[in-house]
Amino acid sequence: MEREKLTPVGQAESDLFDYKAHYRAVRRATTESSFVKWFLVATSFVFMTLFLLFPLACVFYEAFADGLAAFTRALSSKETLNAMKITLIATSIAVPLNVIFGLTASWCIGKFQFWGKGVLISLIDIPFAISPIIVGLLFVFLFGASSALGRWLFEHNIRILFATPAIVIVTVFVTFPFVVRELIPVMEAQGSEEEQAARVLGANGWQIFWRVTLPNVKWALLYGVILCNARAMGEFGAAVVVARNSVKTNTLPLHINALYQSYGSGSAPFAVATLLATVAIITLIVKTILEIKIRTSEEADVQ
Amino acid sequence: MGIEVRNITKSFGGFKALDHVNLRIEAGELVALLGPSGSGKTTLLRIIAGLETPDPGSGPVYFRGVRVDKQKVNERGVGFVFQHYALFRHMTVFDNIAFGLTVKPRRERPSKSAIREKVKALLHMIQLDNYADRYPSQLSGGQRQRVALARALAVEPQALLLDEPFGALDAKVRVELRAWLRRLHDEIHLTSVFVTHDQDEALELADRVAVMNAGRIEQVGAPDEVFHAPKTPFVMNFLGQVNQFRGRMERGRVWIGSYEGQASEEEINGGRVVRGYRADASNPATIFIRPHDFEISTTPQKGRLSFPATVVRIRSAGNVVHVEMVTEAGETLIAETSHQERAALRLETGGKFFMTPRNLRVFTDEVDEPEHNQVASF
Repeated sequence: MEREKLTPVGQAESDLFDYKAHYRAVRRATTESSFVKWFLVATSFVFMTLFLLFPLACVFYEAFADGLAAFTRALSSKETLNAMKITLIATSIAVPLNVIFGLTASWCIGKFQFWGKGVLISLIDIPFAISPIIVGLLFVFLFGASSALGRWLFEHNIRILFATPAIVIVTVFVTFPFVVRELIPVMEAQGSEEEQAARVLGANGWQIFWRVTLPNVKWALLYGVILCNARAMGEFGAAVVVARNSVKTNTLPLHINALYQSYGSGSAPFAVATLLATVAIITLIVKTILEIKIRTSEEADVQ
Repeated sequence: MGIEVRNITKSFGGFKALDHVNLRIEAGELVALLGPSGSGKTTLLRIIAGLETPDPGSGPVYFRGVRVDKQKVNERGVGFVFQHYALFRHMTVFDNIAFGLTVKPRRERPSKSAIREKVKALLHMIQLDNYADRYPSQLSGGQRQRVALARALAVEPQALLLDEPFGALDAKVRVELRAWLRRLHDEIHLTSVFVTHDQDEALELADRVAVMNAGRIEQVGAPDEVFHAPKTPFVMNFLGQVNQFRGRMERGRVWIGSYEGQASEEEINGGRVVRGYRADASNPATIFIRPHDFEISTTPQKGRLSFPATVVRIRSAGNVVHVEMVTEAGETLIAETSHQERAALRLETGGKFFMTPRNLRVFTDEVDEPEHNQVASF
């Protein structure tokens, strides 16, 4: 213990300033009582258990309520497989688009000064601000028979609304800000000196991007991708409007909803829900790892 | 490689960072761009590198007599060292130094083993042989700056440009690195330009110093020249401590109050032509005298400018004695003298002494002549 070492050799204990009491007093003055501390910790744990862990456990419990056979049957049904396919299509288009948009937008916002920059940043947040249902309606109006674009599409026999393209479009829309929001602060903090250094050393634009810019933002980029992926898979509000709940255009969340609404499906909606719940758990784990990575790389920069 | 810039102007919004600047740097020279912040020195360096484009209407930039102002920064073949190092944070020291070689087009790129040899040699030169696998965050400031220098030198640049290379380092490391850079320059004789706001750094390190102020180069010359023969009041003021007195210049005689003396042609306006100066009339002027350029005596010196002043304070802790004095006109002055001389003169607070400058500089006020005013009336 550090405190014991403070006693000089050859001096009576009683002559000395009572360090132990002093430290105890300091600690008393600067910390809450243990009751308050434990009460606060316990409250958050009870709340988390009741509202987060318990429902999640229920999903898994209900999924197996009719036995393992019913569980596998629900997961391997034609509708479920189709829903998985559509969700995967929407996600695999939305996430890469998000990455491309996120990198380009955060690059120009983080590294350059230009007129209208503030407006652009606000515009990026629109999908956060608008309810997904409104987003769905917006695209119904845009592509529906009431608009010129909708009529033109109809005449040329291009089907967007109530089909997979509409699902993809609304998914791209609602996930729009995720990657760019993660990247802007990182790009801004890093400035453009490293890029300038690379340029003076003879690197061309591609080399600068692949070898300097991208490696510097990789953890933030992955973090954005993970969040974007989770959001894309879970999208419901906008999709339900543009998909119109037909079996062919159901995504996983829509399919779960449809199963739950129909009578006699038993454990099936919960079985399918375990898929999304698993994605959520994986997302949380990866997210935690990435947060540690980002923190350590930032600490390295500070030194 | 010789560098020349002609008639360079650069504005940022309404701010004129450079105002018709001309500069010529000889091959193998080490030149300092010295000035206060906002004087345009970094902008000039970045324009030479190609990181900044001068305003339209500016003159050309020449490298070895060839125009390069249309060339991009990656085609100019210069090495640039940034104030905050700008090392690639996710790369090891080795990869940082090798970067310039590995991004070369395949035809020009050296083999892997050649790159390794080159980086090893550079690591040895910067005395960081065992640091190849470290990351920039694991290095001290001085070590980082040396890595940045090695990275710039790896591509064998035609010239080395350094932006406040020691600005972010603490005083002791700065002095060491300064001496090291001078030795390095003496070995490899690479044309180098560095930016600094530290006059000691510029005077100690550079072959020639370009003193900058408000977007213009006030004077270019060897350190001795700019220090001992400043051509403008700014240069006089910026390089070292100096006393200023209001006075006048009249028919070749310099006046401070009612005391007067001779001034040589060189001492008047640094030998330059100043607007409104009339040799046959009385010209209001500022007289500059450095603290160590005073002869102190108990009686006035005949035939020379010799004016009285009273001792206010004496600081004698140190190898010279600093004497703070007040003139008859109430102007404060600082003089420096030796401990022996102080004893011989019995220099004490409250004593009155005569101050005779060994060296002085007179700069007459710039005045618009009457014919300039007539232009406005067409």
